[in-house]
Amino acid sequence: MWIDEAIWGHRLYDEQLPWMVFLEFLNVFYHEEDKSRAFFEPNGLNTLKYRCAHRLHLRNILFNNPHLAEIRQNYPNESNRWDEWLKRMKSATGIAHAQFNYLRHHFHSFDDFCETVSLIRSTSLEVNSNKRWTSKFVFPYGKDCLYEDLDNTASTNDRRFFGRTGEMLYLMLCRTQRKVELLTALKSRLAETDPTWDSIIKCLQPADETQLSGERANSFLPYKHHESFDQLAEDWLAILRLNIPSFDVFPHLVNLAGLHLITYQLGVSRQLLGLETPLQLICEMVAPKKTLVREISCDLYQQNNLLPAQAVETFISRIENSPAWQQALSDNGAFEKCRKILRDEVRWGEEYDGPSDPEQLITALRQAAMKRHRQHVANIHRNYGRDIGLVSKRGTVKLRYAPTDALLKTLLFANVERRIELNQFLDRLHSRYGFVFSDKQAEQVLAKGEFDKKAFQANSRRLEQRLGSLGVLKRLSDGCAYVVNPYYKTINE
Amino acid sequence: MTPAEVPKFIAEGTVSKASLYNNIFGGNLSEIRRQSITIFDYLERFQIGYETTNRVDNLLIFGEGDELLGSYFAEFVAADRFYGADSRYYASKQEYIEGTNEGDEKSKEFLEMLVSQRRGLFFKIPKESEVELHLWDLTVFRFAGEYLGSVVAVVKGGGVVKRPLLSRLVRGLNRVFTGMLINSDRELYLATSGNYSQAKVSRILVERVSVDPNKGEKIVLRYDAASDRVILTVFFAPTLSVEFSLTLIRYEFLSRVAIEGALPASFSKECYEDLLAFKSQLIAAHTKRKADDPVQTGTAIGLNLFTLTDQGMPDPRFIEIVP
Repeated sequence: MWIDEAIWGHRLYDEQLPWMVFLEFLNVFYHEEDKSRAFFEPNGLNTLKYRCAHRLHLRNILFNNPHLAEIRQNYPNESNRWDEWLKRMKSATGIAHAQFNYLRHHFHSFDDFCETVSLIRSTSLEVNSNKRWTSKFVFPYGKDCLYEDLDNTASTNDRRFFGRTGEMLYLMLCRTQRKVELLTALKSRLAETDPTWDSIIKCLQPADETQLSGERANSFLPYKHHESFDQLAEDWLAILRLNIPSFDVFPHLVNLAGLHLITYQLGVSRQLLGLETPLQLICEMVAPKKTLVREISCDLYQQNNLLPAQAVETFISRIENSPAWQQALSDNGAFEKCRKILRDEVRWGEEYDGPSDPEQLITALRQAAMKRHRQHVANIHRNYGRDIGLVSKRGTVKLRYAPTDALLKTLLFANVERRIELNQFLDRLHSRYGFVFSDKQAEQVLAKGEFDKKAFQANSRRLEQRLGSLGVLKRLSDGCAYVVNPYYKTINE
Repeated sequence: MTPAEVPKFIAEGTVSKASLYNNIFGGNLSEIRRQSITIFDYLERFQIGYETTNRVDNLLIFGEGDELLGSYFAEFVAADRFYGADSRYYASKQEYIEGTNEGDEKSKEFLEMLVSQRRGLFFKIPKESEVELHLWDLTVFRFAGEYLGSVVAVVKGGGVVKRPLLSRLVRGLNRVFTGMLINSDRELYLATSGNYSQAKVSRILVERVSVDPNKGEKIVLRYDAASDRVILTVFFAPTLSVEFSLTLIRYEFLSRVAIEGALPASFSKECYEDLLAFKSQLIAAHTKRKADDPVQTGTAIGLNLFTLTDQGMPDPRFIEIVP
């Protein structure tokens, strides 16, 4: 079936949380950069083909190796330790004729080796989750730290946690107006990072580590341009140009990627549904008690959450109302013709075995499409929202928009150059993402009956306090509150 | 309240409601009204009236006639004819101690009186009894007395802050910088985690800076007249230093981290973030100092890891990786 994909791309996948999206993106980016074509699609739209590294030596050492502590304890002698460990590692998963002898050249002692492994593990992603070892990732210190997610036997990517959303992210950035600038900024940022760690990770791999995946192809993003793509690029650019210490930029990039994937999904849904007003995200700054803002935010969250499903519905209705379908209905052999339309349009109908009636055929499609949609694509708004700290249940049982400190910081860093007045900042957040915090923006978007000035004033006062305690808000003696970006540097600095 | 109402209050025996000690914190205003007035909002942050110790509460509740606390009760509570214990207070206290009433109303009234009395105590305890009665435990800032007396007053007068206080600050800094319960206080430990500069736990030692003057390194507290602040300065070399404004909140935070270990949850993240930013500056200064050292390329990568011994002393371990 090709409905969610036709609407948003191949594909938005809820189990691949933003950090995994970013890692998949980096894999694609480094591969394409190596071929000097990063952010360009030289063979036309949606022709991306790339390969990923597997780095199974490294991954076996870090994540599939419970022996170190025990060997250190039970084998007092240096060479015994190495021998025993090397013997055990002969059966390392996914490597033919596993050989880890090269490690002895890099470390003076087995103890040093163990300490290094434990240190690298402590900075890894998902390290404390109970995910399979093939889905654990080393922190992306550099090129030598990147590899793709693999199935249990470490043989192929089963698309569990690398579900192509990273490919979509890459394609989104290929299609922005500022991609050249972005490429320069991203490249120089990645080049500036401290190479020590990448070198250390490299030492854990044999010199001839070349195992690559098969060719990964078939990525698909249906739009040549979209507002979300440009906004994402703009935000990334702003962050990349800041004076943030090396790897500290990554979490911000990840948050913004997650945010823009959400706004992309909701934005496309709204366009398909013909909604002309922009997206609104009314945010509660968590209050000790239930407030009106919380109520409105909960309702709005629910409404937004349903948009993608409505888009799928509309997409199918469009097929049903299309001249081709209507024509087919009045022709002889209507059922077969309609079935052909569905096969061509949405790649579905082959296995349909219900009554030969177009009406029932499309009903069956609706059911199947909704069922499929609900499994993964429908959860993006919730799962990504929670992961990046936009959506939360804090203090209540219902989900609503209640940004965390970390997300607020990311937004501030991406939107404030040196410093701007708090109200300008809030205006900017509203016009760019649809965020509503204070009474001024709320008044514009809410109906008279729903709008409560006091509640929103209190909300923005809480925001002001939060920003103050994060050290990014200064109140001057004239009563003006400014938000400050401590990492901003002018070009000449 | 108008002058005409005064006889009424006297008749009702509710003069204590006019307690200056309580009303200076807006105690006579409704909660919403109080929060909307900036000065009360600020004063509220000291939490005077809500912070307390067992000793103070024992004094107020059981102090009357007590062997040890009785004299304090008499001096601070009973003797204050205006805002101290009046008949309402004694009655409520009695009810609270011996009452069988399980309802919340009565005890709530007494608890409110206690707040007012604690506030009174904060102003009535004289300088001589400050230490004995732990006056500053009546505020969130338990180290405020020490901060004012042994730090601000000393540096303002051009003096040197006592070594144990500086050591305690250094230990607090070390604990925040490493994310471990380190006890070392003779050197400042700069450590990183490898990826994030803001990581909670940092196991890789970058540099140690001596607290006592040593080859240009030292850590001192001084007074900055221009900003009227106490400044903690870390010297890497006579001409290379990083400054940190040691405000009361930061002093309190570091002292508590040094003594109690855990990060005090009642403090906002602000302090913690400020300290991590300070660490970033220190590491930047260290990098600057090192920039003059010639770099050898292609040589082994060295890492200084450290763990803690049972006594909380750092146990460094040097690891070399040969590329």
